[in-house]
Amino acid sequence: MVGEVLLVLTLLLPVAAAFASLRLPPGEALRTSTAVALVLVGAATFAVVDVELPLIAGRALEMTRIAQLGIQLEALAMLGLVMGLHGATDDTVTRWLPVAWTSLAGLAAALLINSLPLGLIAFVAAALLWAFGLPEGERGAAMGAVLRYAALLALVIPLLLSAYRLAELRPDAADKGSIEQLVLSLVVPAFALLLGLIPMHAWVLTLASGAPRTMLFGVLSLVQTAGFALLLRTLEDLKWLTATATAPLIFGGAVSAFLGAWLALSARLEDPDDWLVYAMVANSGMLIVGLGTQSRVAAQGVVLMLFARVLALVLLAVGRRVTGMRQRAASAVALLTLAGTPGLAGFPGLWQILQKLAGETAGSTAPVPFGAPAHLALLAASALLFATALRRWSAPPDPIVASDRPDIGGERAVVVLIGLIVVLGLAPQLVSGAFARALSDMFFQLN
Amino acid sequence: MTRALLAAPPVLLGIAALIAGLPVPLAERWRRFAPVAAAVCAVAAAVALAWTGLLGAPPVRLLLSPWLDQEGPALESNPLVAIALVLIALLGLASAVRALAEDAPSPAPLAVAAAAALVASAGTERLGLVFAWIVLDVSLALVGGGRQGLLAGQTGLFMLLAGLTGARRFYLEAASLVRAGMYPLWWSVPRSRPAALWQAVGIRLAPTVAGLAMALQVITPSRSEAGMSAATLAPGLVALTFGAVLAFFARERTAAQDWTVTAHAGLAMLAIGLVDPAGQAVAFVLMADLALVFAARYAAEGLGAGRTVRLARWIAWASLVGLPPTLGFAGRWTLYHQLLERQAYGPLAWAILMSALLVAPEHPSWLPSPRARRTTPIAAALPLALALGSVGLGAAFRFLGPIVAASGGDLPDPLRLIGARPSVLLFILVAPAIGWVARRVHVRAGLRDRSQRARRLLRLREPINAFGRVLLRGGEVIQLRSGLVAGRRSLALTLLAVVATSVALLGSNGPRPAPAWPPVGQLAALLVALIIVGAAILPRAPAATLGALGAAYLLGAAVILGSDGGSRGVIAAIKLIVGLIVVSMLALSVLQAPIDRRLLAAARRLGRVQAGGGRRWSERLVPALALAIVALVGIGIQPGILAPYVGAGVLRVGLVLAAGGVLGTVFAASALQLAACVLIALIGAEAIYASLDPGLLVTGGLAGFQLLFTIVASFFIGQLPVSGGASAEPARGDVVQVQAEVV
Repeated sequence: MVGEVLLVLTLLLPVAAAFASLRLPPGEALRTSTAVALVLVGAATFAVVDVELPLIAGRALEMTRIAQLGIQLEALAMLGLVMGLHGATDDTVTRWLPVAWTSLAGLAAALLINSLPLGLIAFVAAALLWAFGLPEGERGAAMGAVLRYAALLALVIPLLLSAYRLAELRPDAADKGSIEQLVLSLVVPAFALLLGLIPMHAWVLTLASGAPRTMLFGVLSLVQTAGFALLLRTLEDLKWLTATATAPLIFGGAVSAFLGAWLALSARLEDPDDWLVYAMVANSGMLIVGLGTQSRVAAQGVVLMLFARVLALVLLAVGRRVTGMRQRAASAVALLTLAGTPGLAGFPGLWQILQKLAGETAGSTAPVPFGAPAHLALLAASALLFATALRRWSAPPDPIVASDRPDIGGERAVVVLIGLIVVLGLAPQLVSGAFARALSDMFFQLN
Repeated sequence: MTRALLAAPPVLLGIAALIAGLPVPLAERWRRFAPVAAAVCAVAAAVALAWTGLLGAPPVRLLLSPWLDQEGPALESNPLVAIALVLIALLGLASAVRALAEDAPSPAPLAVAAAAALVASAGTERLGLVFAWIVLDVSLALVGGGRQGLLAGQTGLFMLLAGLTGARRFYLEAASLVRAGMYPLWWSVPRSRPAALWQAVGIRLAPTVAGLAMALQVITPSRSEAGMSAATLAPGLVALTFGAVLAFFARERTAAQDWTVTAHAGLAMLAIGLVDPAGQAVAFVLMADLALVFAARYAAEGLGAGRTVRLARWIAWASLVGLPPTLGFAGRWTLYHQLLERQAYGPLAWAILMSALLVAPEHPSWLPSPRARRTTPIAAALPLALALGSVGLGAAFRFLGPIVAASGGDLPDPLRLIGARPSVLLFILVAPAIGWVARRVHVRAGLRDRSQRARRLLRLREPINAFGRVLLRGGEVIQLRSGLVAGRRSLALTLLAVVATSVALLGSNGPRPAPAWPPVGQLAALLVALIIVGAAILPRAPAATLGALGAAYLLGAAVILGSDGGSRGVIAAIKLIVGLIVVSMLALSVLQAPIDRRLLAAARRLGRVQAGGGRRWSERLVPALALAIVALVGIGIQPGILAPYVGAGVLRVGLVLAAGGVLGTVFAASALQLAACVLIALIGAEAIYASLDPGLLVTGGLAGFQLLFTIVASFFIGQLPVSGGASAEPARGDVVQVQAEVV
């Protein structure tokens, strides 16, 4: 009974929060949203795994381990988004908060429903909802970026739907190899597009240049995190895919990591968002390489890095509320976390990935395809992102600060978040056990 | 107990730095002498650790944070670690004592010594090394290394990570070179400041010793099977050469001292390059010599030219030359002997030549010593004590065998060696003579004033800055010139990348079915699909676009209805209903007015709506060509492995609609066209998907999604693209101008 209640809560809480955000004055809406986000993290954490709520036609809402992990991360990202909205104008809060909560409800549904095709449709629909937050005056300016974003997301649907269905038909197929190859050729570009991997990353860049920053943050933190959770679910359901997709995942991920980091380094100093987009592209590349290793340990590293990525985004969102040295520190620590710099939360995950990527320590006679170059590409990406953080230290500060008064809450939040990131960098064992359990149903060829 | 002794030196030196640096109210006496006391305790702990190691205590591991499977940041005790800790703690103590002669305590050298001690105590523990490295890097950046130093240090860190997690030992060796502040990435250890040259005792020497200790632990064991080669000798020779040349041509005292340290470290690295226990022993000796001799030289800076200071400087120079009975003599003698034994005459001659440059006499007016400050007897005695340490160890060289052996080296008895090969003594003595000649030539030729550009070039700052600029510029070119941020081209490139990735993964494996000309019925359906796509892309009139979209829904429903099995009728009906709603919604958005009961009038008004400007003929050419390619693909495509699930007719029509829709998305000139083309692509894909999975739930989901997408698109129809803001609502009879180029 408790399990069912918690399952329903994870879905209804965002809906209730969206409704409350529409009704309540902005200040109260923000406070309520903060509380709801925290409760949602708790509800997802204490949710009972494998609990099911039947729907129609054999479909059900099911709290799988990956869904639990995904909703935890989503709630955390939402908390960051809400914290970032503190101090924003009333109009911004009333426009974006309901949209963000509604989108979160859709993304949670996408992770909970026990059908990949329906989950995919829910996911893309939830991602499209962000377009509704655009105020009247900004729609014209954001039109190109948002429409391209919507178009590309929509075009992902046919690719993945067909792939999922063909994967279901695979067991009875006469030529399994060809079917697998076909599925792979649909799944890889589709997820590369969803996650903004090079060379399919341009939509994130145009979103950064055309859409309001709140929308960009929402897409980067909520939508892309859910995208990774969806990818994990896909790999969990289609177990044979991890083995088939090794080479493309590692090659594509390594290219993304290296080029993304290079472009982040050379992004214009006066542009407030380009570097972030490219840093996210590079980080996504690292995660994809980790998934490609077929190793359980590396996959745990991926989940740790995903968690660190969400924390970095939360820090970036909160960092925009403060000024001066704290803002610089927040940006630098967030970027270094994305880079996997030792001492910060991103490193333990990167370390686990790197260990399994190099043939010598992978414990396998067959080396990981593209293992050695990908190993160096990831390290080069990490170094380039580190250089980006150093270069951006002298970048012009972010001009978007709503109030002239010092934001005491924001300053404290920045300090606490940096402390948390450092603690997790030094003692990842505090969370790694829980994250490892999330992958227990996935198939790996190596430990 | 051993674990506590292992952790004690870095912790105690860190405490000393904190006492010296923290802005807390503390009596002056405490602030000055407490760091000395803490450093003395650090030395005592390191000596005790070394003593237990020499007595045969087994290696101990101190796990600081258990990450996974007992792996995590850890420290490790072994004899080499213990000796390195003794040297670094001594450097910390020397810094603390030397600071007594200054106006205020100096936390910087102590902090760096603490971090360097952490690096040394990590031993060969992988994560311990990584974390200690970053602590040292941050310390060095804060005390003067700055961003460039941090960047160089981090480059070394990533080499370390590459070596620790990968199979290639080369990176580990390169990392240890960087850690020791050796050429070419020499700025990982900051240059000394003229105003506080003595601080280099902690700031420069401690990291150098930590780096050499690391090299001693990682290089010889990993290369022992391959043996000595040009590759193993090259790092040492490079550092020795450039260090000696830059020291010789230096125009400032700080630079001369710093480059001499680099060259001497290069000499130690050359010994490590011998890759055997004898080389290990020589490097070990040179490392200890470096710590003592250069600590004496740096500590003497700023203490004036009293007799003890002059004596200390002379002994340090003698050790650098290699005169007996200093430790430098033992180090150089054994190194030259080992090179002779291996018949490595080239490296030997080069090492002697570079050593000559190192010990060339300096012109006193060129490199003046810093002005003397107030001094204390204990601080004035410090350089001499350190220099005498070198003499003492040199004299007791033959008794150091057990210590070196415990550290993995094999120390020959120099007295016996001298007897066996006295000619080596000549090599040592000839170096100062060559140096003297070189200096005279240097002075007479006036090279000092003309060598500035060469010095800058040799310091590598310019080439590395140029490389950085090229890196940044290259990235800018890719980002700004590639069209990634330009609307239509970015969409085209993205979709092209999707197709290319897909095709590359699909490959060309397996036999392909023989091409067959489609039957007439399928050709007719293909033609209709092409007309629909063409009508959606080529004209700009909204009525044509909406008509094409409506027709696409009809065709999609017909194709689904015509295929086999399942609940096709229901799915087709859903498609028709959704199509009707979608087209109506888009029409409403175009008209920007509610459709009342006069539907015919509304349709007429829709027909009169014109686009902002028609396409030029040349603008239609490329989409038309693309459509022709789509048509050819549609005709040529075969179901292949999909044959059991999807009919050829469905596949052809679906594919043409889907591919045409995608192309239309790229060439769309307005929000309406873009929306229509995306929907056409979805209709085509859905027609194929309905054959694979005739389920109603997914069909319903897709229908809902199409409605949502239409609402999103209608949000933007009628918006002005650049200025923002909705266009004013037109009067009932007005003709709306749909925006020209929005995507």
